[in-house]
Amino acid sequence: MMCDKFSSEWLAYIDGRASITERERLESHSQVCAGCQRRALEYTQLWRVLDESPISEPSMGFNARIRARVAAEPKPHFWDGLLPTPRLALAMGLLLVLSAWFARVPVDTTTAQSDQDFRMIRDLRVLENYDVLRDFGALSEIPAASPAQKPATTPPGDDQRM
Amino acid sequence: MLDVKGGDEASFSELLQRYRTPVVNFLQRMVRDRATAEDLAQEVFLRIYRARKKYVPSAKFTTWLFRIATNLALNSLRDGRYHHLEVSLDAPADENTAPLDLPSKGRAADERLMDQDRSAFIRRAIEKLPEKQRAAVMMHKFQEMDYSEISEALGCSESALKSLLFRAYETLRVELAPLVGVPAESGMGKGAEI
Repeated sequence: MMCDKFSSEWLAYIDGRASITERERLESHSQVCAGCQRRALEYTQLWRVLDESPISEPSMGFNARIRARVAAEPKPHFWDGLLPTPRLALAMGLLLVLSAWFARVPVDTTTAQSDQDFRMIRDLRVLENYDVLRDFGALSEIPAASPAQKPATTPPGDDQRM
Repeated sequence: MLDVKGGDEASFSELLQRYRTPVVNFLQRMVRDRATAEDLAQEVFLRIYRARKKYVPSAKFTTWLFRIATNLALNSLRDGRYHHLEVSLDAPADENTAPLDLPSKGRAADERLMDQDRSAFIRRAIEKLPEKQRAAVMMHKFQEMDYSEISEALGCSESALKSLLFRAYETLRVELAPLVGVPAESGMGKGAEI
């Protein structure tokens, strides 16, 4: 019976791919293990037997048939290298379609315009007290201005101070 | 292959000459039919020719070559077109697969027959292995490819490949016991496949 521990390692030993360390380890083990020693001999023998496996050459017309098929292949054109790959072509197409779609969608400019107007009004110093003046009731009671009546519109407090 | 990529037709012929026998033998073991193996080998080389411009030498050429061959062979087997080609130990050896090493005139006829029987016995033992084990053994034993190359060609890890190979060689050891010279035990990995 072969040791499970070494069972798969004999393969590398027989085919010559085992390292020097592995070879030494297996050789020293086989000195004390009859099962592994026997299996190593069997594998060596199997290796020689497999070398007897027959090798078939291809038929006489093999190369000629291949050459005929190669000759029948379409010749590459100089622009083949310039053509994009299918994935790249698809990506470019999608990008183009999306760009066209975005270009056709109308942009809503009303919001942007009102924001711009508000900023302009806010920055005018003349209108700083616009809200106070708009709600000042006394101003609405003043009759239409005429040059003769103008002193009467002066608040009473001002006269007393003078 | 880099010369082929550069458009050198002579290099393709050289490549064909160098690898046609290993590829045909590999495919013949895989699909168990000479004519199919040659058709598939033609397809392998044609695919290589078509893909020559895209070839990137990131891996060894043989890895790429046998990956294409393995995929084609497995696809061909899965197509189910060759089910009638199951191996029978009682079937006579295929005349097309006779070994190339022709016997010398001086050898006795019975010796030549025995050699032929022996070769056919070994061939059938290999062909009886499950597909992946068979591909692994062909690349490992007959193409002497590295574990990393074989595992890449088969699309499995190196440890899985070692396990696959171990089971395959265990099966072969049991199947070929009359030639190996030891009595057959119960196979550890007989018929098993990843």
